[in-house]
Amino acid sequence: MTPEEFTGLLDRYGADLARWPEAERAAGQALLNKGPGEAWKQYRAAQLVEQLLREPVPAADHQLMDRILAAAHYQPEMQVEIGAMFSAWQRGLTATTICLSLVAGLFTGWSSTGYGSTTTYIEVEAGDIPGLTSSPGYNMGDYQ
Amino acid sequence: MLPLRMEKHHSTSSASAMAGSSDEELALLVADSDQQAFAQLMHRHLDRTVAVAQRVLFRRSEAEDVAQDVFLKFWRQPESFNPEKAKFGTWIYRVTINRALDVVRKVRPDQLPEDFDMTDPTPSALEDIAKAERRKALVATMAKLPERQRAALSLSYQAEMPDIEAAASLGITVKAYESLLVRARKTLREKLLAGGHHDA
Repeated sequence: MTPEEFTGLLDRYGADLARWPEAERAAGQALLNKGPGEAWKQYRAAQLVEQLLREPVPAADHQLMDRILAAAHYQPEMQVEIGAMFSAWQRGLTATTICLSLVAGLFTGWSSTGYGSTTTYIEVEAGDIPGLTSSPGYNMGDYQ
Repeated sequence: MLPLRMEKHHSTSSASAMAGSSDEELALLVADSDQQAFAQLMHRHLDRTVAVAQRVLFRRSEAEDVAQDVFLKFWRQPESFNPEKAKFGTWIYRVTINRALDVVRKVRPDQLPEDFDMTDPTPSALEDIAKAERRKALVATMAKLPERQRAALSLSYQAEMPDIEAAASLGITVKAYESLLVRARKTLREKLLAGGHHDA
């Protein structure tokens, strides 16, 4: 096995020779047994890389777990509970608001169009009202 | 006031009884809104979920956000996990890696984080300067790897997922997945040698 072949196998199977296929493992080990050289240098570098890759990342702190538990358990239920607490009077309030709005709207609309007033037009002749006559200087027609 | 789910289920299971339950058994309890089963699953998988996401995102806060999203989604839609199709661990890391890739693509598609944080920023007392420098160089190189190569490394080394499952997680063939790993390892190894950090 040449150092180049050895390096290719290092990249393919990693620095743990125990994970190499048996045939290549024996040849690779034999190359390393020759002592420091190109293959040894590559092997050492691969080992260091894998040490880093296997290096444990610091444990997640309890605050993260607490945050997740809080989000999982409390938020949805809080929403449900708040909804349950207020839903009854909220529904009543909503219904009342809608009714009042409708009444107010109808009243306003009715007033502005005049349909709400009870004006009655009666044709009256001057003579129908006692004391009011079509005397000169006072002509009802001037006001009509 | 206790939430409804807690009132309903707090007496149905205990933490000690759950310690011996499999992930899949716990997932079934979660489908019945069992909050203790949910907490137990997080106890088992949250750290690694964050780690898997962080290998792709390189920002701790984003990785934690992804982990939170993934677990909350599982709580709210427990039926999204099918124990007949996958182990819970495989499934949750697959969802995590895909969510992390979504974040990379949508939030910062041309990202190359300048302020990434790979691990604890404070080196341990035993960590010498040369080792810290080597790590820094490798982390910088990892951050520049294509996102799918980072995802492959994360699934392989953090999630410790078998190649066939990892390939399925990324929606590619095993051969394509192995190719991602080969290229990523090669890039990192060559960078290490070029920087002269290999003898440290």
